Amino acid sequence: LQHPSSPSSSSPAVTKGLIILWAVPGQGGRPLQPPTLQQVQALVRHMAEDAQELFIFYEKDQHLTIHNLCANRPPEWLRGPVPGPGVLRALPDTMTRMAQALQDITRHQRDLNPPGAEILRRLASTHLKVRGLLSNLDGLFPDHSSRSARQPLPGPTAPTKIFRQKLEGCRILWGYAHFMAKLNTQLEARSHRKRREKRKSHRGPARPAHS
Amino acid sequence: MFSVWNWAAHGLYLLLSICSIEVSGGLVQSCGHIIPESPVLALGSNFTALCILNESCLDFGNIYANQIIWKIKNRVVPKEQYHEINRTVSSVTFNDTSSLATPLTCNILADGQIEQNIYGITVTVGLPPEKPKNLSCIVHQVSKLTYPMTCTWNPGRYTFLDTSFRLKYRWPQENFPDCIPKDVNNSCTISDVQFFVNLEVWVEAANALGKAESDPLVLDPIEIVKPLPPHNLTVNSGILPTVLKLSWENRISAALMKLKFNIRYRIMGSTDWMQVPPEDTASPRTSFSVQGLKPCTEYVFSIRCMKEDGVGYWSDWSEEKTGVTTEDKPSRGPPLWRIVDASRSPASWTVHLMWKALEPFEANGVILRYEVTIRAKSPLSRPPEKYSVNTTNLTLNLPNGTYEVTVIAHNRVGASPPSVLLIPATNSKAPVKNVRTLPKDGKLWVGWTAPNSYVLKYVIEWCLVSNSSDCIIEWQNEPGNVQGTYLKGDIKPYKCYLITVYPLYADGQGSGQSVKAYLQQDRPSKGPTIQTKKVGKAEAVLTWNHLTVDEQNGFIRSYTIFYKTVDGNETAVAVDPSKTEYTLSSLTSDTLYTVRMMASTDEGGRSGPDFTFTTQKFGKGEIEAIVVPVCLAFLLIVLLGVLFCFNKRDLIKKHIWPIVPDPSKSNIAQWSPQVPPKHNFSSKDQMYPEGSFTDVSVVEIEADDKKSFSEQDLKPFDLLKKEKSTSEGHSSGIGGSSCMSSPRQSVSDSDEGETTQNTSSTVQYSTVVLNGYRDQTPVQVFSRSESTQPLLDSEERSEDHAGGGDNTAQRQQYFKQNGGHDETNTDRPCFERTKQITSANEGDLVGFAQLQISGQSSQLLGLGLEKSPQDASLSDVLQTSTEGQTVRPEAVEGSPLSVDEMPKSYLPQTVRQGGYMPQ
Repeated sequence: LQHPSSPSSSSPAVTKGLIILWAVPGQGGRPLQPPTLQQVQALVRHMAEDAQELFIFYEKDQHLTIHNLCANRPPEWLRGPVPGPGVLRALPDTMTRMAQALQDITRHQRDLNPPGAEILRRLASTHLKVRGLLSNLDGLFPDHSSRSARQPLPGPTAPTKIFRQKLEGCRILWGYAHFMAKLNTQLEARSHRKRREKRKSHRGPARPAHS
Repeated sequence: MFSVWNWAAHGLYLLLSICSIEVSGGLVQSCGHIIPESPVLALGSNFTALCILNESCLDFGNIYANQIIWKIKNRVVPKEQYHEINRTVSSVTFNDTSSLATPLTCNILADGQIEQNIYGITVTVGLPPEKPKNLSCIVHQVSKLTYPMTCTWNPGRYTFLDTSFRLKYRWPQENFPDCIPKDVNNSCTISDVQFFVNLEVWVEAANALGKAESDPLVLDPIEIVKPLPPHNLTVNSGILPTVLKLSWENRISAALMKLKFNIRYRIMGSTDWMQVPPEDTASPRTSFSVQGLKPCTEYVFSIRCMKEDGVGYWSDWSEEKTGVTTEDKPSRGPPLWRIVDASRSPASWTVHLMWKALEPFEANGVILRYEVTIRAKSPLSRPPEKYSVNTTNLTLNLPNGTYEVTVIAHNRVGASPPSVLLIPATNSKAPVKNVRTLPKDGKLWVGWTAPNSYVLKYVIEWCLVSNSSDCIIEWQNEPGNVQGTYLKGDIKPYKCYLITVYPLYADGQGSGQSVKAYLQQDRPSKGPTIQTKKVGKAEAVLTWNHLTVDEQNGFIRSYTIFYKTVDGNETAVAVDPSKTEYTLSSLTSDTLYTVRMMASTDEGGRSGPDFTFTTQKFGKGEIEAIVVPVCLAFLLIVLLGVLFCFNKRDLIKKHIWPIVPDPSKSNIAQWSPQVPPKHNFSSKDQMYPEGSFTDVSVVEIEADDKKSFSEQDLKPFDLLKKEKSTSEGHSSGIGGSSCMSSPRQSVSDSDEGETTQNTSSTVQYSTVVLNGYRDQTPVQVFSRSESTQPLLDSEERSEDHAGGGDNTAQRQQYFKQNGGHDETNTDRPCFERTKQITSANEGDLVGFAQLQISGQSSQLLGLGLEKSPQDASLSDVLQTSTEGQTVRPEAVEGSPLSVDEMPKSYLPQTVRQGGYMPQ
């Protein structure tokens, strides 16, 4: 049961200023800090949702919704992730390839759509997310030099047929969506497990930690 | 003259030489140049420029560095700032670039006379960019998938130079293209940012004098998001009349951001927002049930959101949506009151029941009807009466007694609790005390002291007191535990309100206690009109009427009377406001006073019109004290005069009304034997046949009837003429002029006496006809007077002759007045002249006649009559008659009369009193 209260009468400018100071602690010029695991997990969650939406949009935009044309046979490198604690460490390679794949798909779609088309904007946004995840992974695992491995891979062979390229892109996006969904599920499960363990550790006697 | 042409020719040669040198190489070349070329300089710094001459110019033009002149625009730089480095290079130094201007030129003075520009540069002076400060960014959600980030900063001071700003951002291992502001220098928007990846942002400012970078801002864009507000807000009524359920859609993905919410709401028509406690909406959701609302009330809702952890910005408030709670039964009974009118019948009351419509928050729905129940209390035994009404009042005629009235409001859901009011026989309970009012915050507060007994509630009645309208009662209920409240009606300023407070008990009500009050006072709209009721010598009673309530505008605290004289100071007198009369005292008598009256409230006063009055000159009784003695004295004087006159009546009579002998009663008429024993004066025609007189002038003075003289009236004069003619040689006269006989004796008889009596008021005097008849010598004629007025003593008595001079003198005046006529009309017949005179002025004729009858006046000579012989004869006659009391016949010589016509001589027979003794 709430009690009626008067609307906030404090100055919006003051409020906004306080929020800025609190929300942006780095305004004083802090060094670029490495990402947190929570950021990576949130990004993965965000990317999983985005990947799903991108696939749906692509499938519909490219008229590939019949007979689950895209739902089978994803690329081999998207058949992960492998469950386990090292899932994130294996992720940069997949993301590197995915970034390359998105570039290819974007290049292909750029030939099929006018500039500023929604599919292009979505592909660019997804590509940015993949690059962001790679950036986070680089910060999270600085010792893992993945830059060399993320050199642009050779693109797909010369375009043969447009439909085949569309279908290939669709399968990649479907695989990417599934990959990110599974990755997100694993990370969420691990996060839940850790929170649960943390709560248990706060409640009961200390127990040896299990990784 | 020669030198001028020489210099001009030399300069032309030099110019052509320079041109030929330049052109000789195939390119146009200058004789020198300046280093540095068009520099950009920091404001306030020092600067040195070099002008370097080409060697080729030295040979052709004899130009050397010592001839160089530096100029800023057209102003020569002082040579103290020059420095000749060698014969081809000259430098100039400026300690402060703020003194610089464009262009800076290097010039030479050829042969010390002709100034030639060698080279020039533009100098730009400015400031290096400052470090941008206060960099901050915010991510605005534009759509579900679009999140542009806008960063703003403080660009610093103005640099006077073209300064570019670039917003730079990068990930640790990836740089992004700079964001270049468009049209501004303090903000830039990045079209898309990636959440959950730390981003380093900074601003770079650069111009020709340098670069500056802001402090880098490292952030995760998810922390600075201002999301779009929830949309598609719907409000649905819940099962309970106090609950409304809100539903909405969030426009930001839950995977991206978990949200918390603020929900605000207000009653429709109100501007005061209420807010759901934030902790109740601090978790992600898309619906919420707002509780504790009022039944049957329309509410307006709005919602906003932000990141659940509070990092970032609140969204804007969503569009407003309204919802109405369901009805509930009325929460309370309507406030109930009554007006009892016992004046119509001693055995019954007219009871006006009235109640107020419930407020919406009390009605909890639409009131469909009111149920009124009247229950008689003992000793009356009447069954309860029930009324169902749709209005808020009910008028009943009830026998005297005590009743319990209940009113219940009904809506669609149910009935309200009953409102109960006892109508007692009398207001016998304890009243409240110390009722007082206080204007406060634009409202009128009424306070009172509660009685000692327990009071259920109070009823406050009030009405607007006005001359122009009846007192329409308004009222309100207040709980029994309060001792003051604000009146809830439309209380107007400057209006008088009569406020009455009634305490209601469980078994009756107390009598009301009243007070008058104003919400706000003002000066009276007009002042009293003053006037005088009574004005005395030193005091004046002033009266006025009280101002009407509508004119007062407040409580009249005092009346002030101002009065002054024309040139005096104004005096003010304060007057009790309850009075309508005042007496000004100590006033100055017979003085004009101006008086006015001012009525004052707490807010000031206003004066009425001026009124003027003048004090009286005399006080009460002063006039009587003066007039009465004066009148008495006058009366006394009059009385004394009357007494004096009475005592001296003979003397007065003699002077005022002298006794004129009546010739008709003269014995001489009877005495004369030749005269017919009796004159028939009534038959005048016989006595004086027509034409026997010529030029007879007769003056008749009739005091009463001013009838004109007719010929018939003049006929008796013929007889006189005859008589005169016959009495030649005798001394005869009229009145006092006749010494030989009394005129009365000569002309009067008994008949004449009757005539005289008939004309008692007529004074007729004879006149003397002086004109002759048909060119004959005029005869002296004696005429007679028919006056009954007695002759004066002076005329009758010889001894009085001496004193007759006064009378003579007096009559002379009369004669003079009329003599003029005679003088100017001597050629005319006297009769005509006399007629003219008579018709002209009877008054004058009176004097004239008096003179003639006196006949004694020697002043006749002075009348100018001597101009005419006739007049002269007459004057002689009169003079003689006066002086010698004799009439000399020769005085009428030249008038040959026949024997018949000769008058007879009369001798006095008797001497009557007042008559004349014959001499």
